[in-house]
Amino acid sequence: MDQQQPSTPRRNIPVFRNDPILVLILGFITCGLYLIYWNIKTAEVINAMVGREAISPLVAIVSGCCFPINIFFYYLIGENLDEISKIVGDQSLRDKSLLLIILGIFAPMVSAMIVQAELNKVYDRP
Amino acid sequence: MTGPDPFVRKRLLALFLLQGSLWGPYVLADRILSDRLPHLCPFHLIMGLPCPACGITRALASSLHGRWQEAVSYNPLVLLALPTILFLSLLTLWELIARRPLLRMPPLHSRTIWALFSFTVLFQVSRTALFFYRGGWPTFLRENILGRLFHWLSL
Repeated sequence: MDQQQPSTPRRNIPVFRNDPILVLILGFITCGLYLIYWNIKTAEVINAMVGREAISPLVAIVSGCCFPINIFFYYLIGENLDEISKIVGDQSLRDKSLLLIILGIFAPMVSAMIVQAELNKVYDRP
Repeated sequence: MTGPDPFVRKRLLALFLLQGSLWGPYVLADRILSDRLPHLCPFHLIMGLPCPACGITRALASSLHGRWQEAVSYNPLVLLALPTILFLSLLTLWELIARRPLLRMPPLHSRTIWALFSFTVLFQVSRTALFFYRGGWPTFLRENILGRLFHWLSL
């Protein structure tokens, strides 16, 4: 069974809750500009979750403008999935790091949807 | 038998991805620059408009062949992308050798972050305006998903 109780105390995590479908639609409508905003906000949330600067906001911005660095951005998210999965309480998340990188190459908005869905769980848990 | 420790494995993966993003376009330059490879950008495929990153792969291929003017014409952000990839690659290699994280980026003030984001928005708006100014309407009408669908249905 993948689900387990969150083991890490809740830190002061900024609220960035969105419908994953909205991430997809806004990403398309704005020709990717929304995904740059999303990268910045997600970096902020993940940094707060892991309690250090795991993803520099600079990398988050540049990754939205330069496709190859976008792969690096999803690599950085993948690198922190261990810690995030403990906070979310979903161990299956740990296995998604390669998926995020591959989707980051061909369909970054789908990677963003997956990450957003996982982030939403942080706000859903009691 | 155990594999390399997670720190080394993660850095090796990062180095592979960063270098792959450089040498992939270099090796495939002939195909990329002659448009023998299809546009892979999902935003371009759906909206028919260039996204901020559109043209970066072609720009990287051109720049690695020393054709800087051509590279900038594909996407001026190559001047940002290439040094960033090289810097991140060197940093990752350095960390692999030292076996520990070496550099933490200085924290950015939120105003700086939003100023950079505003620059990106401005860049994209100017790029889109330039796209239409240079006669991009037919391309837009032909290459957005509705245009493709209409073309496909009318065949």
